[in-house]
Amino acid sequence: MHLLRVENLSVSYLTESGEVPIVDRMSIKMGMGEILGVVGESGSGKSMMALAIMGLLSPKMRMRADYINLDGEDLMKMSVEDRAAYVASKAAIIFQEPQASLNPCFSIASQLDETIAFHGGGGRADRKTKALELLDDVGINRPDLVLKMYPHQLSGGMNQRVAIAMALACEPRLLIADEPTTALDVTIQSQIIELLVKLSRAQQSGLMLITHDFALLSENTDRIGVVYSGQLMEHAATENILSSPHHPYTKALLDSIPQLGDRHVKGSRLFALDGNIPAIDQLPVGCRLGPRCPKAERQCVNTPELRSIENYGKVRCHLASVSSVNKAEADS
Amino acid sequence: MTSIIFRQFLLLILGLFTLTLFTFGISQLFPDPLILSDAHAKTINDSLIENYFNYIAFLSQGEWGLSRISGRSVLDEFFIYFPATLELTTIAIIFALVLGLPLGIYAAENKNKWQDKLIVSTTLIGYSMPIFWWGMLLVLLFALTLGISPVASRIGFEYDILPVTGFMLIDTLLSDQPYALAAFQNALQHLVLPTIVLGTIPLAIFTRVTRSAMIDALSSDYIRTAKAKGLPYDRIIWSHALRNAMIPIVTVIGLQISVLITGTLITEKIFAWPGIGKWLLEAVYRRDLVTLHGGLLAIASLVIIVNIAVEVLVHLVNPKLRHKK
Repeated sequence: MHLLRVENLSVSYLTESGEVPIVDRMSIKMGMGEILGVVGESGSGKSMMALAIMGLLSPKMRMRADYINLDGEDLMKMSVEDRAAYVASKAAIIFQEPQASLNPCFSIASQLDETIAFHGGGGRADRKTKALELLDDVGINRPDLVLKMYPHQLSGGMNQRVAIAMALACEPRLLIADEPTTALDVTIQSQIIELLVKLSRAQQSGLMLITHDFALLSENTDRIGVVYSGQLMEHAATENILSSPHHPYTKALLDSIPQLGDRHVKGSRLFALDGNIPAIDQLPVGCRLGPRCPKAERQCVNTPELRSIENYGKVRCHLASVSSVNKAEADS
Repeated sequence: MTSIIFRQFLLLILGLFTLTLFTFGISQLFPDPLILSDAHAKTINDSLIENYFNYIAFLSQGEWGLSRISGRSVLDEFFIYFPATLELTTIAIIFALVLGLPLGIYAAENKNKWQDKLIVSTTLIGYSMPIFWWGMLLVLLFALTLGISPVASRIGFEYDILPVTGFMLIDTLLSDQPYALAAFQNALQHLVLPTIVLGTIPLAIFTRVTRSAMIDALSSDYIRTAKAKGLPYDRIIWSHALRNAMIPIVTVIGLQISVLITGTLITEKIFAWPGIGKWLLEAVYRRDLVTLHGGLLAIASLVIIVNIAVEVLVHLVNPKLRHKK
């Protein structure tokens, strides 16, 4: 039984000259209580995928999917209203800018209270107790004080904790964290990620952690999906991806993480792929990584499909099986 | 919050003080010295500074001089004419708000669709309409051609209403005449055209400001959060978005009240409305400088007071300002 199964999800942006695809036939599976990391560069479409699942795309966006199965029900078969109500009861999302994602005109108390009330929170006193508990759960020291405050009176980290508490008030089976730490200090980042992982494990709820920071994912996730230019490039268990990345892009991402301590080679420069992520209306022929790929070959002008590789996961690369064979030879 | 009220109060005092400097300066241009009362006349001497402080002293005691035409106290006359103006202005503001806010919200919800474009272009016309011409057009159509509205004044001459509060709508209801209710209806009918004329520009402005403020609010991250929480659509619009949009709207309401007070001068002339505007225009025709001075002072003080009150309101509406030290 899967918590989330997305099949061929496409999102496109409507312009006057036609539709511009942003997410291209993305398929993702998450088990119950699984922690999935989604990693990719800015503008690769990972946030759009999350918004599409939540049904929060702006009116200028169009989405298509074979199905989006969330906790046993297909979202694509529901009416807009049913879908919004169902998603709100099953899933919650945390955004990038905690300061902006809380309403500046309402106190923390009223925003939390409203959420709890909407998700069947009982009487006034019960709701207040629940709000205090939630704030306590997300590691806020003086919940009673914070309740009376407004978002602008709290720091970014505190606001993100409040946002997490608010998401938890929905009692979600799936929590999507869309770059939850990008706007925060490095020291706060790890605290927030640890908190999310801890809460997810404690409540047996699924967590989708979207980020562009591979280092954040390596310790905390069960599986990782790598997104490039709107396509899923690789989708496999975290230890597989970390130990033997099959896709050249994943490898490049891993190589671009700074190494400290023993592994640091003095004077060495960080690895970086040449070029930039292609503009969405100027995609290369064939593999979208093609022009930037250090291992590109002649066959890469043909569009690769996502293929399953035994004992590993799924990879979108013509060279994947070859390189795994090479690796096997090297091991023997 | 108390510190804000205190600061605004100081600003009020400063504003009124500066105002008296102006009015005193202007009164120096009068052919005869401005005389507020007999006692004031005795204090007038060659020292400008001494004259100025005496002037303030008598003003603050409520000695605003006697009208050269009617011989009555200017301050008393002001309070006789003021309720008519206040009634018209209040109703016009309510008219503009009650229509403008929902129209602006509706336009924002349908951003860039034909409904939105229709509202935006209509408000542009409304905003550019010269109100003296607009008023005459309305009178021509509704009063003269169709005959469904009275032409001018506050109430039909067949009703004899005792001025108690000065507000016609209240006075008709307080009246013990048998036709009290009919008089109330009649007074309401008399209000319709002036309200529309006076309210057109504020209506256009409120609609546009509400529209842009709501578009801003609706595209913000906290609205996305509210949607993700599964809140009902109406609640997102009327509570989360409108509450934030109110911050610019309240500021504009304050500015418009000041503009409206000056706008009544023309509207009252068109509809023979016995208010401040009519009173002051007559003072101009009759070269009644004492009345003119008093009216100017009163209206300017009113504008200052309204602006300060709105400033306090803006602080109340915006939590970010409320907590600033």
